[in-house]
Amino acid sequence: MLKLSNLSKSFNGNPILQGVDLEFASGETTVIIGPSGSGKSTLIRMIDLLEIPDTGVIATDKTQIEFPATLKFDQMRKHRSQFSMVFQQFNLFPHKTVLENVMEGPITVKKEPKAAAMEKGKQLLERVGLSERMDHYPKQLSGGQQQRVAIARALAMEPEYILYDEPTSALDPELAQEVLGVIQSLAREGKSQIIVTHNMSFAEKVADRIIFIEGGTVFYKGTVGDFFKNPDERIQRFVAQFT
Amino acid sequence: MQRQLEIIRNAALPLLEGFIQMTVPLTLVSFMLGMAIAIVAALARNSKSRILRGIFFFYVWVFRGTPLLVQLFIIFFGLPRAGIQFSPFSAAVLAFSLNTGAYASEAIRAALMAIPIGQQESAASLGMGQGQILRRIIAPQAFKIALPPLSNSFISLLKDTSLAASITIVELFMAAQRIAATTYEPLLLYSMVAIYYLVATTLLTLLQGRMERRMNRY
Repeated sequence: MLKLSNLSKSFNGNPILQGVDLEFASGETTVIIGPSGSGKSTLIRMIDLLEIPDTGVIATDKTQIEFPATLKFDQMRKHRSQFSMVFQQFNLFPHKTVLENVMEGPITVKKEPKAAAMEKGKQLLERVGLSERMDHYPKQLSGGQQQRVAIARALAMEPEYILYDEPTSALDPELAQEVLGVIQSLAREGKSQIIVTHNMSFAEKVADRIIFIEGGTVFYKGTVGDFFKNPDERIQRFVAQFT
Repeated sequence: MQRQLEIIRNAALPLLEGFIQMTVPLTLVSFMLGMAIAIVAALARNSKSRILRGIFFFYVWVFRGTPLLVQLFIIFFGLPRAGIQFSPFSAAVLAFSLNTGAYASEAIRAALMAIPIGQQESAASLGMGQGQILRRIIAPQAFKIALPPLSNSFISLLKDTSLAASITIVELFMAAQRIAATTYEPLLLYSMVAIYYLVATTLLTLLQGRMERRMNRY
C-alpha cells in the first residue's frame, strides 16, 4: 500500500500540485492521465523522491516521510528500495552493456553476489525478449528495446511498485507497442504499477484504476469503466480528444 | 659534414638522458598532480557552496590568465624572498601542475556538465549514493568526453617542461643548450631537440587515438 496525503509542490512560487490525496493498492496497475502541465510527471517523480514535495506525507507499509523534511541518504535509500522508475528517455547507462545495466543496481545497491545478479539479469532479459542482446551496448538497440531493458533494470531491484513516467512518449507507435506489451503482461501477473501516459487506449486496456489530474489537483480517481463512461463534461472532453 | 655527424652521434645520448631522466618524470608527476587538482577544482566549481566555487574560480582565473614562465619565475625566484624555498624540481612540478590543473579543470567541468541529468536520476532511483553515482556512472562517461582536451593538455605540458630549463633544470632542452654552447652548432642541436619532442608527441597522439577507439564501443 502506498498512501499520499495532502502533497503539495510549487516551483518558483507556481503551484504544480496542491493537496493531493491518493492511495495505491498493491497488485494493481494505476494509470495517471491529464493534460500536459497538469503535474502528473511531478507527482510520479515525487513518489521516488526525484522531486521533493513541499508539504504532505508519503507513506508505505515500511516507510513514512513527512514533508518538509531534511532527508538522510539511508532514509531515501530505504524509501526508494520500494520503487523503480522507468523514464521517458530510458536513461540506460551508455557505457555498460545491456546485462551490466540490469546488474548494476543489484550489485551496487543490494550487494548481491555477481553471479546471482547475472543469473537474475539474464532471466529478466529473457522475459522482456532481449536475451540475444545482453552483450550489446544501449546505443546498438532500438528505442523500444532500450525501454524494455530499462523495465528489466527496474524489475531487477524487486520493487513493490514500478513507476513509469511516459514510457512510450519517445517511441514510434510500432516500437511503443512492444513496450506496452511488456507492461501489460506485468499487470496481468499482478505487479503493482503506476503509469503516467498519454496513450488512452493503452490506459483503458492495462489499468485497474485511473487517476485524472488537472491543474495540480486530483479531478477523478476510480475504476477504468467508470472513467470512460463518466458523464462529467471535463472528462468527456479530455477522452474525446484521443478517440 | 663529418663533424656534424660526429656531434649528432655524441649528443644523441645526453639528450636522451635529459629527456628520460628529467622531461618524462617532470611531465608525468606534474600531469598526475594536475589531474588531481583539476578533478577537485571541477567538482568544486559545480558544487553548491559559493565559497568553494569562488575559491576555485579565482584559482583558474589566475593560473589560466598569467604566462606559465612568469608563474615559474614567481615560484622559484620570487617566493624565496617571502621565505618559501623550493628545489628547482619541486618549483617546476608546482608551477606545471597548478597550470595544467587550471586548464584541465575546465575540460573536466565541461564533460561533467555534458552528462544528461537522466543518468544521475536513474542511478539515484536505483538507490545508488552520490559517491557511487559519480564513480560508476558519471566519471566513466565524462572521461570519454574529456579525453581529447585532456590529451591536448598532456601534450602541451610535455612541451612546456622545456621552460624548466630557465630555472636550472637540465631536461632535454637545457641538455641541448649546453652542447650547443660548446660546439657552436645551435641549428643542429635545437633541430635535434625539436625532433625528440615531435617523436614523443606523435607517440602520445597515437596512444590517444587508441584510447578513443576503445571507448567508442559505447
